[in-house]
Amino acid sequence: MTERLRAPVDAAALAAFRILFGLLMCAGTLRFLLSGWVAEQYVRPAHFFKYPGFEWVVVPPEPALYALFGALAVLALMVALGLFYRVAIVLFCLGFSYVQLMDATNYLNHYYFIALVSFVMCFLPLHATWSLDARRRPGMARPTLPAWMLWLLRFQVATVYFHAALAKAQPDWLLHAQPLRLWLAARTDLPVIGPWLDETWVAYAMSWAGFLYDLTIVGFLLWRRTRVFAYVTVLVFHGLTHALFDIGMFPFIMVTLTPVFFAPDWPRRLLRRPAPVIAAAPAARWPAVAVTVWCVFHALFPLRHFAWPGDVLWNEEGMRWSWKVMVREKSGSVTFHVRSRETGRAWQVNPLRFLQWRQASEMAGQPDLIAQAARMVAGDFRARGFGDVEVRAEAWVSLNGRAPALLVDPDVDLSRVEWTWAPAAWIRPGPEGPPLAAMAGR
Amino acid sequence: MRALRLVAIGLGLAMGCDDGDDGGSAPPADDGVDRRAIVASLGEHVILPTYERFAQAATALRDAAQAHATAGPADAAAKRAAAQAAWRAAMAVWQEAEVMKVGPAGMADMTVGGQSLGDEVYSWPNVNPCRVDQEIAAGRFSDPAHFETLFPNAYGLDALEYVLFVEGADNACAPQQAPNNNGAWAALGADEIAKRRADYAAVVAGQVARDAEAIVAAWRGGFLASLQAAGTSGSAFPTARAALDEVFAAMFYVDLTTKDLKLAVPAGIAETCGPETCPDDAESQFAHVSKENIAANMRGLRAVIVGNRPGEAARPGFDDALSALGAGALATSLVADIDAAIAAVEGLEGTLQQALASDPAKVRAVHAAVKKVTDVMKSQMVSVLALTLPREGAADND
Repeated sequence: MTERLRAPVDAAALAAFRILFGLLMCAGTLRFLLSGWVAEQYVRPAHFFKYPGFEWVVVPPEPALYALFGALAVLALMVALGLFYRVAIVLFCLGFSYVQLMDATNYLNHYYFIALVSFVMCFLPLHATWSLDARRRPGMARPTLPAWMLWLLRFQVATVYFHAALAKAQPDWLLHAQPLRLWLAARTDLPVIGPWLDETWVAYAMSWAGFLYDLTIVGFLLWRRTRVFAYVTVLVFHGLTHALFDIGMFPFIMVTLTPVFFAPDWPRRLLRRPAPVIAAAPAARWPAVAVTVWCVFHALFPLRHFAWPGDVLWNEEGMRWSWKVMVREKSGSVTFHVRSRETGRAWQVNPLRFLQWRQASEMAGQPDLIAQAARMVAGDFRARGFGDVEVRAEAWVSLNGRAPALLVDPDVDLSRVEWTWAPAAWIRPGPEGPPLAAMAGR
Repeated sequence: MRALRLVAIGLGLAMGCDDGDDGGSAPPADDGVDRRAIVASLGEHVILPTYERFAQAATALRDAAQAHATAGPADAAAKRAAAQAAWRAAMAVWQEAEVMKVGPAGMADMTVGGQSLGDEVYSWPNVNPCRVDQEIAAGRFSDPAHFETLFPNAYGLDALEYVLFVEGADNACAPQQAPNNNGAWAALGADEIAKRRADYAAVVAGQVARDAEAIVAAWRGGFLASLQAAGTSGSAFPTARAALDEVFAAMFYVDLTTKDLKLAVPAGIAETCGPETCPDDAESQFAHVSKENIAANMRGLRAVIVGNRPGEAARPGFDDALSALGAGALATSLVADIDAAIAAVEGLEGTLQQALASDPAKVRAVHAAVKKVTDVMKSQMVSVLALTLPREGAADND
């Protein structure tokens, strides 16, 4: 096993991974800039939600924000070109991760994936071939790289699919086809496929197909005999998710990066380039401990919600950084009840008064963000001379179409609650019973 | 080469399936939730008729205000009372329209087809009686074009309420402000002030009537057709879903304005109210129809949810969409909650200001009743109908 991981393989697949990743990140960053999302997500909001341990991350002033995004696009292009690759990928990783840490309401699984992949790429010499660096410094050029590097990137992509499958292995998804039934029924105006999307069997078929796809696609991509069929499936699956959902770059990322499961020489064969002499390359040393620790952590960390009681889709404890991709529909209405400790006077605060709509919407379904917002309200009241206040939240939340239920205990002063790894006693149990199930008509 | 082709096909498929375009040839939705039919019906049978009713009421108001302005001393009081009645009638309709500000009445930079005409008609809470008095003292209002240079808080139904209902010859400005600090107001005299207020009312009422007609004309001149054709080429709405989202966004007036401003602030529920209650922050300070306005907001919301007004033929609305998706119980309870909120506000004794003084708990109960409606709108209704919250903005999900 170790020998196989240390053995040299054609570096072409890794170079292709670097090129495609860089181009995709460059395009994604430009899309973000051109969509006006820098202003929408980072300039207009007056408050930002922090990640535990990253409270020090601040949103820079507007000109610096645009400079940061511009720099990310340039760095991504440099990664693709393999130009000053080591510096470019490290700066890209740091810059991209910083942006993601600026506001927790912007969390997306595929942003986390990009941060992880770029982090891994910092340690891999993916500019060894097909790069401007290799052309500038022929001494560093290598036609082969150790196989563990390829397998590490494969692991990173496979982790997403495997845990996404596990996240779907729950009653709402498999037994009630929710939330797909809700989402698909709203897309009946799509051309060609639209009229079928409200069919109950379609929702069930797509729920199960999605589950089985996530569970098996890596295996089928790795197996040479099923590879072509599997990749066509990748194209169809992610093409559909792009058409049906506002899922951004995610389908493009997976379509572009899944060829990492192909044979290491796939780009060379595609471009009809001569194969390198692999036998001549010596087996390399490899950071076995670091790679093992990394892989074990990323295999187990997304499973942490099993250590906590309750439904992760409801309490969100262990929801982030665990590849629970598009598995719940959650909408809520939160009202903060503020009470002066000195006078007993009580007020109600609509979060839309201090948050953007998108932030308030994201916060409504996530208890830790509701607690964080409660602390914001308490701080704001103190700053405005109201003295010491208690802040409770009345959060009516609908999960997968169920009737709204209270997400957090309305009697707990959330301004005193701090985030910990322990289960939060102030999160109420999830609603009993199935999600909205009976769809009329079909 | 085959793999490269597959990549190209995949990317092409993904790029080609743009979810914002259904190309004009898409069949209507077939799930019992024909979103296009719902928005088309709401536009034709609920929203446009509301604006048409308002245009009629605004015309009557204009005529009454002109009669008031030209009245002699003998019938001045009667004509003023008639103008006040016409204002109340127009305001009752407008308050229903407040929750339907889709298209021309919507804000220009926030709604599809928006021309900000709604703000021209009524700009509360952006009101400023002092600005009205300053214009009256300056006497430059006879030219309607003059109003184009002013902010909406100097004209519209809010300004009309002030000039038609305010008693006495005092003005709303501070002593250090014009027209007090320059003696302009004191120089007018009580009779001239009354005359100028009547003249101002006539000019502003004419402007309101023109704005009302402009809204109706814009609806008839293409916006209704655009709404009815939502999701086809030529419509301003790329999908029927986007059109439904736009109607849904307008309904949030009940959350942000009715609940939070018209009720929470005067009832002392919002911290911006220092004392226990703040009746001076209630909506209608001169005509004292705050209570009626809140009830009208809820009736407008009910009409949009149900698809028709009480007594009219049943037509598709949001409740039908909810029922078709298996959430009939939600539809029923939502309508019942709206009816309960209407009953609660209509059950207040006297004006809202009087109720705040005599029984503030009852006003808080009205707030709770309205909040019960908006809680459901923002939670289960959004989920079941896969609606987008207003100004949520486009962003990626996963």
